[in-house]
Amino acid sequence: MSLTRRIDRDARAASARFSLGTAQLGTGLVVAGGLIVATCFLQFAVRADEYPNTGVSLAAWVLLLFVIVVTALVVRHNGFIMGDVAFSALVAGLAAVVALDLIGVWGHTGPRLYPTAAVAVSGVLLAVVTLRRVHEIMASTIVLGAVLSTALVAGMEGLTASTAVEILMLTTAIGPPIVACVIVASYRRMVMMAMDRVLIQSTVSAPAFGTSMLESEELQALDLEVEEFFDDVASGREPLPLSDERATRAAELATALRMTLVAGRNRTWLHHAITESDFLAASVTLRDPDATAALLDQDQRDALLSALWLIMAGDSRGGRAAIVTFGRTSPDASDPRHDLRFTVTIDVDGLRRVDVDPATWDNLGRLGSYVDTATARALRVEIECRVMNPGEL
Amino acid sequence: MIPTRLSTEEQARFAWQLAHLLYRTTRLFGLIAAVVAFVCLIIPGAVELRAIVPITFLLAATVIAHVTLTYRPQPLWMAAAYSLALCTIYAIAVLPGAGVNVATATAIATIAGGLIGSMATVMVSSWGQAIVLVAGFVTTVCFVGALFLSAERGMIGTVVFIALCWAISATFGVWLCRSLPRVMRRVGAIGRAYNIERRASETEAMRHRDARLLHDTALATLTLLAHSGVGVSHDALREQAHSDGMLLKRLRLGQNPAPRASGAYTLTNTAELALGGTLDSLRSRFSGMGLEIDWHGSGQLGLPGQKLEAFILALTECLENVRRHSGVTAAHVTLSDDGTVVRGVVTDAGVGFDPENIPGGHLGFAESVVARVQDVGGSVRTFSAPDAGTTVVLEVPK
Repeated sequence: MSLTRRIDRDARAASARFSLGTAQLGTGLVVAGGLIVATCFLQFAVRADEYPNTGVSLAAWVLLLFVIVVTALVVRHNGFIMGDVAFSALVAGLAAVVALDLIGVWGHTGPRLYPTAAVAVSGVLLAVVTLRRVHEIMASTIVLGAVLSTALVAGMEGLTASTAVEILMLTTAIGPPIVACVIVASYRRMVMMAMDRVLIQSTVSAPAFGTSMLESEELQALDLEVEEFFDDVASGREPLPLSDERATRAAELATALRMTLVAGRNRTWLHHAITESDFLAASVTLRDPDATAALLDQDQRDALLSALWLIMAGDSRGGRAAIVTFGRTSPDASDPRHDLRFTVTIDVDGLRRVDVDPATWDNLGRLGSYVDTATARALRVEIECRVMNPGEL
Repeated sequence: MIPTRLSTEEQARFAWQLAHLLYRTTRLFGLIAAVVAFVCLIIPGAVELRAIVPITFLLAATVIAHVTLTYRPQPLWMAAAYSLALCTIYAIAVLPGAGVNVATATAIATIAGGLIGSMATVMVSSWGQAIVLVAGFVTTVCFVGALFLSAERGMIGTVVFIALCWAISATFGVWLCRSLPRVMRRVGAIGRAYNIERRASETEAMRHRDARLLHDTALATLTLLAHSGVGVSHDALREQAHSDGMLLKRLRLGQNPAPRASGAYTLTNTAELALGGTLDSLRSRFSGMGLEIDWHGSGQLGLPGQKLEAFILALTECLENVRRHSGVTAAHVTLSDDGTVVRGVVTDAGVGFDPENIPGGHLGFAESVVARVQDVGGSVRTFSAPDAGTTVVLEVPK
């Protein structure tokens, strides 16, 4: 069963990623990439006649423009998705451009004559950052930087003032794509988290003991298997009395059905929220033997979920783990309406108090009155919740 | 700029995230530029040693102001970073021991383009900012141009480079400011679609569950099969499996089945049934499995559908327990209705058990009987001792 959940979650993440679409990430960086390419070309054009092997340098530029045009057409044709083949072809094309361009200026160390098309390659990498995985672009950029710096060092005659220009050229080649990689990585993470957040938000308004999306699929799968089992028995394909193996399977199915039909009622909205979130499922443990979470009203649910989410969301290294424990309920004797009181304890490991998003405290305050104790590596918050007594309704 | 239909808190968080990304871009570009400018300045022959100290000091102050502005975005810090950067450029150009040469010109271009220009990323979200941005760019270019007038070489290249840096930096800003709200709107839309899907799936699951509980025969049939069907007529079992299979199939195809019979026993929707029929079907079902039931008392129970359903299901589970565990083949069921409470008493003379000592982890009694009755506001009392039989009293208020 855990396997199906895993697959469901992966499929869900994949479909979320797909429906967001890479095109949605925007092709704005194409403009920045275009500016780099254009500037490099300008640099080449004004001094084209000074290049020792103008033909080779020109060939590098023609190849680069060809690669750019073909890539643009292919990406456009495929609905702004760049497949592995297209990307490999692009990288191969760019590598050829860099090689040609370096050959073009090889052996020439005169002032203000540097590879241009090879630098312009960084513009292309910058333009496709949003279309591919960040580490692929990062690796390509690093390789480009390594090749360019090796070529520069090899052609250098000691440390002179013009080395500064070479350093600047190298920075132009690798700086923008690297910054873009860093920003796009945060950007993607931000979007995936926002996605996760809106998906589990739907549990806030769900019934206290709802069925989770995964469970209702499980029930249907179980029912289907039982149906086929019955068919086999009814049609005589399965001889009676049953073999031990089949009888054991029947017992397993009965147990699984009983679990989903009856025991499922112990699973609260919070349980579903945590198991359905890619993000919380890995790091949050829920201890709620009496299903006390069901007593929280909608505002308190929202507060608890937001607080939990904010606590875990600030974590980029995956080092945080939280345990949420619901205490036993007790009637509030001083209250004429006989409200119920219970404590919710959140223990977070690997979190310093200063790293907590301030909005977390607002949310905890909406849940109830809280006391927090912090050590160097852990934080413990105890929240005293007060809810309406369902028996008094 | 900020997508609507998100909660205020979400909007605030979203705006904060966008700002965080923008300032992070500024910081990265700025720091890279500062490092490159510094490396250019310390190349032998670029600047004499006596000038390098004040220039480094100014550059460091610029970096501090620049980094501070990315953490505390205030116009004051931005003005400080801008002025300090211009001072650094001025110092490089005019200090004794420094002056414009190839290396320092590169450093100046890097500071004017990369370090100052990195602020363009955070200056594109409104027209007011854009005007300040253009003014800043023109001032920077004029300032650098004035310093370069004495050195006739490389001015055009420098200006082009500065413009490129500003343009790239501004493009990052425009891209983030435009695409992030669009993506977040999309995320919001997916969230709403998912919410609707969840509602639908819940309704579907509810339908399934209700139907399943109403005709809780698949579970009973499976339990018989789990014992390899021993002790039950094979034909009857096949017949029962057939009708249960059909029931599940119709459920799967989206119908709300209300079958009349399943194998040996009759099925009716308890919410609309004549009670006698149910009790008869219960009797014949258990009789088929070797337990005789004696009914006593009221044949009419004045309970609304859902409560009646829970009551009958709990009663059935009690009888199932008797059949499985008591070791006797007869049970007595007394039903009564005193106008406020409907009571069912299930008694057997079997082996009994210690109610304090029901083994933990057993889903059976607590879930199938106690939870069901409590769900509709009723209560369950159990009286039993080893070898003294068992009596279970189910009470459901009207």
